[in-house]
Amino acid sequence: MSDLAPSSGLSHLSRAGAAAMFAGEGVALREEPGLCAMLLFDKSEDSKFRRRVARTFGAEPPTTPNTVAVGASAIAWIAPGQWLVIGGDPVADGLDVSDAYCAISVKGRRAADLLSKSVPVDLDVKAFAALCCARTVLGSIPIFLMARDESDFLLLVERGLAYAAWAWLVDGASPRAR
Amino acid sequence: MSGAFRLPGGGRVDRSRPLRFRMDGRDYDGLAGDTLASALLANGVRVVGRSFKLHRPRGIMSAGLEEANALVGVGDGARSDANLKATEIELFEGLEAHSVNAWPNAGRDAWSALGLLKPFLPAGFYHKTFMRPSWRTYERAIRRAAGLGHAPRGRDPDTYEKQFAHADVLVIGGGLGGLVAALSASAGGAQVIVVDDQSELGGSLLGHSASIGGGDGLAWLQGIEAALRSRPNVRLLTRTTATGIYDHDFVLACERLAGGGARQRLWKIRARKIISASGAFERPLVFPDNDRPGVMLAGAARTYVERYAVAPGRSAVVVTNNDSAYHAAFALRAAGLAVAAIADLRASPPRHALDAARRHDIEVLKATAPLKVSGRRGVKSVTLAGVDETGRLGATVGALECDLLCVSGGWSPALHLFAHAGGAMRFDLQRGAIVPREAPQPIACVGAARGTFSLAASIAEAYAAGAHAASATGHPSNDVFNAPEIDEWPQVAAAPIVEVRAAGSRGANSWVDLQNDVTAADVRLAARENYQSVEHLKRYTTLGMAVDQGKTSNVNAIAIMAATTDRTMDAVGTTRFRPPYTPTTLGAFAGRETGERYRPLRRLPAHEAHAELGAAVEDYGGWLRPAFYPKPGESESQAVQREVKMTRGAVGLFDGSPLGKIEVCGQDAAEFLNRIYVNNMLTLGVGKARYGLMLDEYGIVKDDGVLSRLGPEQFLVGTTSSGASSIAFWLEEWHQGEWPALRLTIAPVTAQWAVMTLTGPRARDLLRAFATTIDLSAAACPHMSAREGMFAGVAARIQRVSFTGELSFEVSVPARYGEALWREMMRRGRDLGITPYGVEALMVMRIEKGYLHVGSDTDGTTMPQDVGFAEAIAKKKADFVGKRSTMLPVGRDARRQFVGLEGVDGGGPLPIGAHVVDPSDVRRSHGWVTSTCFSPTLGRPVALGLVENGRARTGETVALASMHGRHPARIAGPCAFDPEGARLNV
Amino acid sequence: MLLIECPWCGPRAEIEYSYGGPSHVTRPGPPEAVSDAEWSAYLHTRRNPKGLHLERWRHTHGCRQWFNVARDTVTHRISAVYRMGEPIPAHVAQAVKKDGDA
Repeated sequence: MSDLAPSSGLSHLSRAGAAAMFAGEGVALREEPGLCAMLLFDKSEDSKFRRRVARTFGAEPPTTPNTVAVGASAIAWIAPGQWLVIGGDPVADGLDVSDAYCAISVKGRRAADLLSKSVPVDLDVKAFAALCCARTVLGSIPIFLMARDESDFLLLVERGLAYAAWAWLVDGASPRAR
Repeated sequence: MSGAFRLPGGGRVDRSRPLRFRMDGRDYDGLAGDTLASALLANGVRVVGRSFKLHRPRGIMSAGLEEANALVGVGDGARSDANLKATEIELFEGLEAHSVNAWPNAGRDAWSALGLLKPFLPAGFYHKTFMRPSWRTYERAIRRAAGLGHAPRGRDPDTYEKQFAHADVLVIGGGLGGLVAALSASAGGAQVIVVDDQSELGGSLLGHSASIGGGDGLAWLQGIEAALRSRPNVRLLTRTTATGIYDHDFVLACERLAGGGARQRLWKIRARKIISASGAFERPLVFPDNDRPGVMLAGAARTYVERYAVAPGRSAVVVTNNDSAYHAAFALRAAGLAVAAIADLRASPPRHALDAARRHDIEVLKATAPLKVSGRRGVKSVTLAGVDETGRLGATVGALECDLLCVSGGWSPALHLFAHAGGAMRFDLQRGAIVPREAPQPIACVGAARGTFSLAASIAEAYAAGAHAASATGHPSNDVFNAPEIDEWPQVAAAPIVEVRAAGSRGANSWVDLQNDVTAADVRLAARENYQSVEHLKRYTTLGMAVDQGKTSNVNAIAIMAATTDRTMDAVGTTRFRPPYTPTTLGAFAGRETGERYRPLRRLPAHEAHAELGAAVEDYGGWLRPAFYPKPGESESQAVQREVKMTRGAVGLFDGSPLGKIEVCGQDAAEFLNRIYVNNMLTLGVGKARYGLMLDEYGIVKDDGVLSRLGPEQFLVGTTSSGASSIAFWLEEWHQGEWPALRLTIAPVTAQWAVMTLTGPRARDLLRAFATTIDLSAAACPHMSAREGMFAGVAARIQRVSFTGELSFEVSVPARYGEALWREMMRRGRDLGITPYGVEALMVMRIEKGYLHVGSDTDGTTMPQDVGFAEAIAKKKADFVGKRSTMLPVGRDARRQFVGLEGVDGGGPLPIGAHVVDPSDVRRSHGWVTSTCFSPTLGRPVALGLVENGRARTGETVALASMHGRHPARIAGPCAFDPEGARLNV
Repeated sequence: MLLIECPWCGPRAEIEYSYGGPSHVTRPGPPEAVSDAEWSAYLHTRRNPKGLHLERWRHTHGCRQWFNVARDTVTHRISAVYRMGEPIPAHVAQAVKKDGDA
């Protein structure tokens, strides 16, 4: 067992995971600390890899760009031959990048509106339905974004910039930004 | 009551909501729904500004953003806006406005005597006059007298929002054409956005009533608005000005907010189809004294009456070359104003117009135009004369008393946005206007914006354009539209007369551009002096510049230039319209991305721990890193010197987390990296680390760092902190673009790891205080080793590399444990004398050791042979990126080489950037100082530099020349401390 | 701001991309067999046409992939996008040939 206590990119706000609620604005932000993130690589396009992934994670890696397959974990296409596995536990096959990111959920009726203040991708449910994902930017901050449903987005941001992304979202969600 | 000129009934103002406001220190009353302009007119204020150059009194001449005269400043201090048009400002309670370019105010302006100098201030006057000794001599004084408004003082306290939006169809303009187009565009489910700059939809119908379908036109249109509001796929944005169309149908639109939150919101709209229903601007006529306060566009006068219930005067004369002003005259008469006459430039106005005038009991004077307007501070009378079809004035007809002179020179489609989209335009004689020709982008103009001035035709064309856009974006509909019956006059072209003048007159008193004080005579002067290109005309006379960008003057100026130079208007052409369409607050473009948010800096995993130690953090390559850890009362240099001494004396702890880390794995990883590095990397053994250099294809040093081989097919590329992101892209570029057949993966993992560097003679002793599965003894883990294992209970990597010249271990743990590990090392190292050190101390130690710092000691010309890699290149058979460039003749010439420099007189630090010169001939630079510090270890200054043929000149005495004088120095080897590396290999 | 269609991710705003110079530049080698002139031409000589241009873009804030874009440098019209290693689409190749002849 480690004698080192973990911290996250938002530990300065709360050791247990940051949260902010804007009831009047229809948005809630919540950190999801400790969420596992792993990279899977495969350029071979052979079925062995697909079967192995399906066995481990309960879903085959999606072949359609920027979509997510959900089994025991969520498997998101992020580049040709490259997937980001979110949730579950690290496995030997994957490259663990959990610590590189901070996970923030953006939920609520106006979640897409809040994100669209600074995300150039069309987040309307017609264009970005549940289980769509994209690597893009939040203003000047690179992010990975995934729709869990039309009012629930998961955002991964590089750990060192998490404080800035959080402040940016909180500021954008506050009534004085209306 | 809200002013003596407020009409008793009608209008779209809210009489139940009075508003107080101030203009130039005086209090006035207005109504909700007023603009500042309409409220001032309601209060009988005639003079609202002074002209730019001559300080002539000017009055409100329009009712929209084309306004050239009524510029005001609003607010003061940090929260102030310069040069707003009074015609655009929605009145609000407590509004404070002041006129610009006038002192003390617009009514009594101390500079007004300048107007007497008019004959001596032609176009180009400043260029021609203030040449000796130079323009600068005069600039300050002239700028004080001329110019518009003042920039706000202090930082803007308001916030500005931005919003991306995506639409199948974007409709610009919420008037008749826009809303009808939106109706058909949205019928099949297409996402439609409508933007309109006014506070309510309706466009020209708000101020120019018309009968549609046998009833009130605006009411008919509001029925369509209601239908649009009921559609979830339609978004209607009022108070939102489309300011520019950019590449690939990207539109910026600025929304003015009034909810107590953000002040403005910049919409960034990507549309698949754009329909421009932006309407048209009425043109003034050019005639003598046409800048008097009280000379107003006829359509604007009508708008003040019908929309704002304000009489812009008591008694009007209307001057026109087209039919539209007749309706204005009728509206004024209906509101109870006297209309002395309509002076029609045409010899035979159409029957329908003459009949209607008779019914309204208004006299029409045919082939008649103004010769002179009296009343310096407000029109008092107009002298009329006969005019022929070329605009030549003849015999005087007589003078008419009036306080309002309504003019109409025809209508010009608002083509600015269309032009932003790359649209081409042509002059249409039939319509008397510049009209759109073709557009490379999918933008369609409808209604007045296309030169279609018939309401029925506008509706038909708008509906068709909307339906076409819907089909083109995959949302057709079968909706049937019953076009309403409209009883309107047949369309008759305006008479092609822009300017009227007497024989022999140059038009020295006939204003073309009111805002910039450009007269018809100035345009002719420009033509005579060969500034005949429309772009030259603009720069020479300033015509069409500044706040209104010539919205009421461009076409008239082109016509005068065409006539003067005997060309067609198409041959003269228009200046290029560029965004923004109308002035836009810079804050709207900046949005919330200001200050630290403009480019957020990365925080270290142990950021909080550094803060607790009082670290001075600074921006190093996009990371907020401790520069040094000052103790109370310590200066920066004292802190840095202490950190170096303590580290070399015992053990120092450094947060090296930002060091770039890229995992390159796969069968061909070694081959790939061998093609990237200058060094031979095929021979690197598992568990070993090697310092390497990367070049760009020009043979220039790009980055350096340590490559570690963690397994036969697993490498960890170490880069400089600032190169972490760009080198990952660089590797991917070569893999994807040049060698895609190589089987490997590239994964940037910098942020995954926190790296704590322990360095100094006691470093190993401290590591022994932690449980680890890795054997860290000198024998098992020599210098330049890379190990993986458990450390303090977590999976870790330990690299024995050094940038200080001391025994060093870089301990990498998953970033979540970084902060805790830092605290643990500090706690357990207390007895060993552990000292945290920052980037500055690290820099001192690496300068003492002569370790290269790419970007400091190298520049855009530095090749590997200049920094000691000539041998590595010679020995390496294989190709690598940039190799061929190192073999070019330029790579063999006498080159600046990386050397050490030491002061010889025991003086102070050697100045950074100082040039290395021959003491007997200081005129030629042999190189310069690239890094410098005072070495606490050696007790003297040490420096590094790039010096021509430097390595062969070791021991030579040179001088270092800088703005601080000349310093004697000696060229040395780069390494000033422990050159044998005895401290490293323990 | 251009709207560029990434061959994988579809249309995305220009701010997600980085420009990478002309496409189809062949790297001469091995170094010992390449003349100075040939190498300099590879490094420095660019067509810089007014009109159709085949160029490389990287979807930096997306899938990080390089790809080719056929863009008109005057109108910004994009007539094709295709992946690294894929042949130039026939209609683009034809247009390039016509430009070259003209």
